[in-house]
Amino acid sequence: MGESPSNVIVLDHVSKRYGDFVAVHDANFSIATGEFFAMLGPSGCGKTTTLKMIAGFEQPTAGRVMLDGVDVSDVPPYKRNVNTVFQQYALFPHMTVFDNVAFGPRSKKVDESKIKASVMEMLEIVRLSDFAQRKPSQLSGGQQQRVALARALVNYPSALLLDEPLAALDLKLREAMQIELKRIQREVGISFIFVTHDQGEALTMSDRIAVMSQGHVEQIGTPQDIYRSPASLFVAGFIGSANLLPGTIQSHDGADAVVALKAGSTIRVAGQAGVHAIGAHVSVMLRPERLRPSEQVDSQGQSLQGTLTDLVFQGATARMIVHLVDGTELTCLADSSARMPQIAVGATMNVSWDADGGYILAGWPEKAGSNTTDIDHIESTL
Amino acid sequence: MSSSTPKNQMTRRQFLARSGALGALGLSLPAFLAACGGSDSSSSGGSESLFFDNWPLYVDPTADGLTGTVDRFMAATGVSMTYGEGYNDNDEYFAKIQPLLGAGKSIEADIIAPTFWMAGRLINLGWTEKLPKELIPNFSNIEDEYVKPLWDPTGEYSMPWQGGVAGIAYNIDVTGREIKSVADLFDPEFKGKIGMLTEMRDTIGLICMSLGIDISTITSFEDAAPAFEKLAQAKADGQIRAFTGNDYADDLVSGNFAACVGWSGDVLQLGKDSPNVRFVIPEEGGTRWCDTMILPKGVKNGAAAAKWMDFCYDPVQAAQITRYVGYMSPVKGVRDELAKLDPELAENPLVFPDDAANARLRSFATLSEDVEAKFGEEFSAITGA
Amino acid sequence: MTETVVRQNRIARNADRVGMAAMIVASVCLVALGAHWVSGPMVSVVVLVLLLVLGGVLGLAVTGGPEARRLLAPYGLLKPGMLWLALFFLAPVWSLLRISLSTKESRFSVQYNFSWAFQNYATAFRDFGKQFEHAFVYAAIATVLTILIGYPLAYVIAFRGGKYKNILLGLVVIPFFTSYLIRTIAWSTILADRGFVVRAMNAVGIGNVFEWLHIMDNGKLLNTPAAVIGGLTYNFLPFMLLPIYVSLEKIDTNLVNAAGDLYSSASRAFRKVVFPLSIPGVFAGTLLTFIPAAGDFVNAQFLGNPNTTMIGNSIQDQFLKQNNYPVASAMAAVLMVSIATLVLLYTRIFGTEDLA
Repeated sequence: MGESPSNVIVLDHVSKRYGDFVAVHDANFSIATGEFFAMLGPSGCGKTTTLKMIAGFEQPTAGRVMLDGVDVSDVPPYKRNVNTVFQQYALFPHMTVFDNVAFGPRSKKVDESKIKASVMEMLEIVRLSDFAQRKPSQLSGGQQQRVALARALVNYPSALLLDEPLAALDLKLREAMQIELKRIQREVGISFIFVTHDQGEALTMSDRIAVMSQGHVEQIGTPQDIYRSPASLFVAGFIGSANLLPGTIQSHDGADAVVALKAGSTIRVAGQAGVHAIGAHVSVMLRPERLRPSEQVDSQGQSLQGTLTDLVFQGATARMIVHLVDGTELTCLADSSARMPQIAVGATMNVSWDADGGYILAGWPEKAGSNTTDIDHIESTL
Repeated sequence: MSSSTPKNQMTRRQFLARSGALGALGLSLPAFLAACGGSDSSSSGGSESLFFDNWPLYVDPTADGLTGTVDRFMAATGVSMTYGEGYNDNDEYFAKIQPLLGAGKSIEADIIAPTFWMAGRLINLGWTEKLPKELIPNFSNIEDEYVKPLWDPTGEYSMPWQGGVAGIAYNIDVTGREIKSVADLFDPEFKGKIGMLTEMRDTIGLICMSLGIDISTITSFEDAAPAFEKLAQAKADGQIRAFTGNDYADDLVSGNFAACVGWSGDVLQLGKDSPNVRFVIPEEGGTRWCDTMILPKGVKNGAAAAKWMDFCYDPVQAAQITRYVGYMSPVKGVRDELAKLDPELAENPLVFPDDAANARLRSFATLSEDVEAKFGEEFSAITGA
Repeated sequence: MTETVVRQNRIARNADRVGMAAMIVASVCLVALGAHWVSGPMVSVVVLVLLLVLGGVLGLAVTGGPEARRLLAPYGLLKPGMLWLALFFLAPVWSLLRISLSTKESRFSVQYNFSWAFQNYATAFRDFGKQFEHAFVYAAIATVLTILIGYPLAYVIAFRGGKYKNILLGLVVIPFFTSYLIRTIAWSTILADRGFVVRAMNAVGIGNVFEWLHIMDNGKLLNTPAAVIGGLTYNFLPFMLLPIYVSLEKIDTNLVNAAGDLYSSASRAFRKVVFPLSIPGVFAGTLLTFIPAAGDFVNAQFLGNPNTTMIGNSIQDQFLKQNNYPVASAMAAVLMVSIATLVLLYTRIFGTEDLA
């Protein structure tokens, strides 16, 4: 982990314990200048604690937090050049929008005339110039959100920390704000570090994602990397939907790995030879959109047989649930505009995929087959 | 000292100060009194009934194997008597009965116990009934000075209940010397350590006597004006720490007061626990006060009231009361009866002052309405209330 | 059928006005009875009017249909409070003002003759200026002290109390289950000349400092202005602390975090965020403390000396000892108006309606 100046934030083996409870274990990564970085994970995974350590509201019990190349582990929040957008915005209710945004510069004793210019400029960027004299209670949720952004950004921090900034908004507004956030981030060119439990949000907005679980950083990478090549069963299940088929590495054949599935069949996974030892317990991950369900036998690539148990039309796509012979449930996502044969529930299906469509992960899943990240389910556990 | 007087009981006037404050706070006084073992009522089925509203802790109760005077009275006469302890403060009680008696209506109590000057006011206002002396043969036992007292010049309206003396009480630990004169109260040595009573006649009375003014002949404010001036000056100088009711007892014992104007009976009782607290009738003389029994206008049970007065003026009965309350009895012959019960108390000069002491005691004159108002106003201007 | 509906609609249209009128008439009737505007047979007439009005509105509500009932309901709900105020506030205030402008024939007369006797007010001002001054000055100092003591205490309980919050609040409040009077008298024991406080101060040698500060006077703590102010401060502390606590408790700790995040030191965060947001509590506490403290007489009576008398003592004395109802009423009226004026001014200056 280098400390090159292009890294605005460096977490150097940072851990945080509360008594016996390990909230964050050995977080060790850096964030580049201008990067949109997401920390993703279910509630209690340590992402917010990590954010608070960067902001300075919490002190690490081990390791260092570096900001612009300087160790700030023991520096209080008000002396760190980072700003936070709080989950419920934490706007000062007794101040106008202008005064809220001007709060930071005034703390730094910036010249009042300069403050006015920079505040108005920032309100321009978040498109709230007309609301400068309103009180926060007179604004909608989305507007409050943008005030919170402006209040943080007006200080031109080295990095902006956002703690579930969209969680309080309804779905429509959330989607609009995702685009808005991206736009603002590009405009100001400041690193955004973004905490969320919503994998869709993370995938949409981030340059890189750190997936966290139970205090551990499971994987850091671009959305594409993480989606295609999850580092663990947890990541595979948490990011998007995945069909996980447990099995054992039988042999390596050229670039292909041959896996004997617990369900009985043997399949080939291209490009995965030599990654896992022969005899290792592994799972083959098949993304639903890579599967081709059909009533015909597909001679190309790999295939498994099963029975169609559910079919949901979703507009551009159709979701099919296929139960394999051994009872394993697969989720397939098919292009609904393509020839959609008149398939009825109960039909015998042949699910096929290209050999490079699979990805092998170590270990067996708790539940074989379809693992869908259900946002509603996750939110209900918050 | 009487052995039957509980050591830590509140004295009658001590009680006055406390309950006055409670009353001012609007707390339920009857409830408080009930809790203090208050009124003694029973119905013996007799045709006659009687209600005496007296000061608290002012008659011997049935306790410690002794039958109280009220019970003895009921047993002897068959009168069904209600003995109340609702008389806590002269002004307060006056405020209570004023709207009724002033409007010509009668009040519930058959006998009430105003202090002599208040009795004088009520008599002047014509709010009292003449005593049916023909039904009170023991009236003849009344001490001479009370036959035609200043507040009741014809002697037709009132009989004293108990009397006492106001003088100087002091804590010798604080003063470091014996106090003999009212002048000592104005000694700068005791600045901020002197207490005065809110009872105007005692405070002003003592100062008047120290200035050679005879308080029994005062008729106008001008007569007493020098005393007021002296008091006002002392207050302005910070000589006076507080004007108190009977809370002076606490201040005296704790040493907050070096000396103060106080009442004989209290100090007599205080001295048992705190030998450093002493009482003296000043060289210049002390004031004498008494609480009376009067019949309010329109009294319903005058005959029964007469029976009670007669009973209490029997020296044998009166001695029992004196033994308990420790004040000066207005009944002749009590000393001899008391000698049989409590010889020590019978010799106490504060209960039975000798002639020399008596000669130094004066009672405050009864003032006309306007003069009394003026005194009250001027006094309250000084006490700051 | 339709006739009923038409009638009900008509009632409903007028229900608002009827409800309001009924309430006013009923209130006036009660004030008339309570303040003795009427006497003799007229009393029965007024009582009759009162019953008729109340019965009439009740009848309207019963027969007027749901819409009328809906419109009358607020007045029905307001009525107990209004009538209570009419009988136990407006009527007594009326009587008070009337007596304050009356004279009586003789000292012990129970008859007050209304005669625009403004000399009662002249007396109140002339003879009791000092006592008014004491009342307002002591109450003001005590109020400031309750803020200085109560605010940090409330702050610690609200932000640092954790799971002990309720226990700590309980500890603040429990002493006040004892009678006001007894608590005050207890202070006279604590502050006594030979009490442990004075002895301890003299032993440590700070007695002289207190003398110099005019807190102690000639070796005394008790029976000084400081003791009176101290008693007021102690007795009214919960009335300051609790509203402040409530307003602090409501503050989102993230606001403090946000201020810190925006480069504010802890003290600036307090000045710019926490304190402004707790002003409603300070405001409410100030009213709850100052108003009763200005009218208090217990503390001055037990902890003061003849030169520290407050107006409450004087009013009590004039009412109960001097039987001087007219002057006493005038003093009470002056006190009431002065406090009301001060409160209005205070509200104007520090009023915080948009913080609610």
